[in-house]
Amino acid sequence: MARLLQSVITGLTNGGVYVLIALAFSIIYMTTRTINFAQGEILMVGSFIYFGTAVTLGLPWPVALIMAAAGAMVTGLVVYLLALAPLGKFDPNTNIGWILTTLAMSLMLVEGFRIVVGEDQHRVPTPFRSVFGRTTILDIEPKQYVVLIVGVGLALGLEILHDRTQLGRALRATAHDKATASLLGINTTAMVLYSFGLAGVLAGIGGWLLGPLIFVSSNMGTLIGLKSFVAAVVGGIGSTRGALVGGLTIGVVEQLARAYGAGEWAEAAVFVALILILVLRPTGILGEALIEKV
Amino acid sequence: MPEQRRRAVPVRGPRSPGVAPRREVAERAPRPPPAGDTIIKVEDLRVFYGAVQVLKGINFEVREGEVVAIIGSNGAGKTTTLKTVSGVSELLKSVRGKVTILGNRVESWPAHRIARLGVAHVPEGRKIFPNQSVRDNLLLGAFGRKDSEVDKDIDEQCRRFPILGERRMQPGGLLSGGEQQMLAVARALMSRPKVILFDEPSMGLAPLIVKQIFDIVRQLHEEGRTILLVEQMAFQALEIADRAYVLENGTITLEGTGRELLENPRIKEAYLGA
Repeated sequence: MARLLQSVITGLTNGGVYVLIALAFSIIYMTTRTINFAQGEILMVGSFIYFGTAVTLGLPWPVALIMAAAGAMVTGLVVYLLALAPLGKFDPNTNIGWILTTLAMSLMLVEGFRIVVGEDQHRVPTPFRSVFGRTTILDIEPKQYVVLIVGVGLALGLEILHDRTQLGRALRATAHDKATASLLGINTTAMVLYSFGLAGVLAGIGGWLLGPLIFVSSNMGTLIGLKSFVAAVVGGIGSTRGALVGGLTIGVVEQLARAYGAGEWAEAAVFVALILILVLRPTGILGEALIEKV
Repeated sequence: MPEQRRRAVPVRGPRSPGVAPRREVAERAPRPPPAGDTIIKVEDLRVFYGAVQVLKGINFEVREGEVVAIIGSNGAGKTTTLKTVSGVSELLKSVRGKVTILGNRVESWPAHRIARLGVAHVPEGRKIFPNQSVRDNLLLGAFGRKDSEVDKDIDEQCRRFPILGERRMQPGGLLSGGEQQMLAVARALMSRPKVILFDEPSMGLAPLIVKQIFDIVRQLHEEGRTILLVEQMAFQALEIADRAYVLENGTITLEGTGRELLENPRIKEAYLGA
């Protein structure tokens, strides 16, 4: 029983990172109907910036965090400008081209970092040791709970922001119909840039959270990105609440599989969950069906 | 069509704000010439989609307080004209000629910038946001506004269209077609526009609802609003228009007051089914 409880809690805390990156996938999908497959690599960039500023340069961690988030935001915008913006004049229904260009950006980021900073894995100390000491709750370290709290907190914060403000309404309007949104005075290009910038910030924060949990390396983001994409689809892509539920679900499924004998199959369990959800509920757990009446 | 034999049309005297005199009389009184400033001026407008030329050098203008109609059949270029005025960018589209709105040359401006000049466009097919509530749709209409009277304007639109008030919190997609058209009009009014463009407001609606929609346009006219209306239903459009243009295959072939065109034998034959 204790083992089950511990697995679930560990799964939820791991899920915090999936929530953040699933949110990033969702918000970009909302405004552009595309999947940014470089999202996991943007997290990796954030981790490296945090490592470089906090460990190598020895700056205080809040400064390093802000720089990691800002750097990841810029990376997200660069991915948009290089991989998507040049294709923007073509038929938006041929999204397959867009997706392949983001995949190319993902490979270029991984290989670029491997060539420039090498294949070494870097250890990043947690900034919370000084606050919490070595206390654990249910044998789980506080830095793990921080991941969960930040992930859930940002998801709820964004849900409220996008539910109650003109910014959120304009985002949804842009997602539904760019031409009509622009007729109402909404700068839809600015909305797309906002979504890529915000997705970058979320990935940067994810990179900061993840650094102390796993080693920072050039290929750390690939699997995280893929599993978060699964989380976004499982929860219902385009939905903030869906990203929250999907991220936590994927975290728990993976951890339960790891704890109960599946060992090296833990990652496969994530994709089995994806297949099951897509068969049972193709829109994802919280994906909404479109109301359309003509 | 009995409706066409009915000669009674509303008459407007010199308008004063807030007063909406509507009398049914047998003969249309001579209309005072439009005296307002030019709101929209289009000169030698040519629009291409790739190699296909849709508009072949058209000229028209809309003055303050006027209802101007552009009538024509399917594919004549009516929607293209409106979309070009309001700056909707489309695949392969290129624009030549001059579009001047409130003194600004806007033919290279993006749609959102033109909208913020005070141009509200009620698009073909209504294009409300079906997953957002009626209230959110109205708030989106006020997107560019920074003032504090948005809530007051929402209440005003809900008085104008009581059904929107009743369904304020429901998703727009659950409204009927006519109600959605009302929502689209109310959304346009939320921006406090200087000119309203209507693209085929009658499209896909039952005859009784079409009459309601034209009554709304007429009422907006009586409030002194400036309107550019594009319609296939020539009779209804000419009946409420101060002036009108006939668009055929990308060329304006005829223009005049609404009444002149209603009585023009060619129009009667081609568009009014007489």
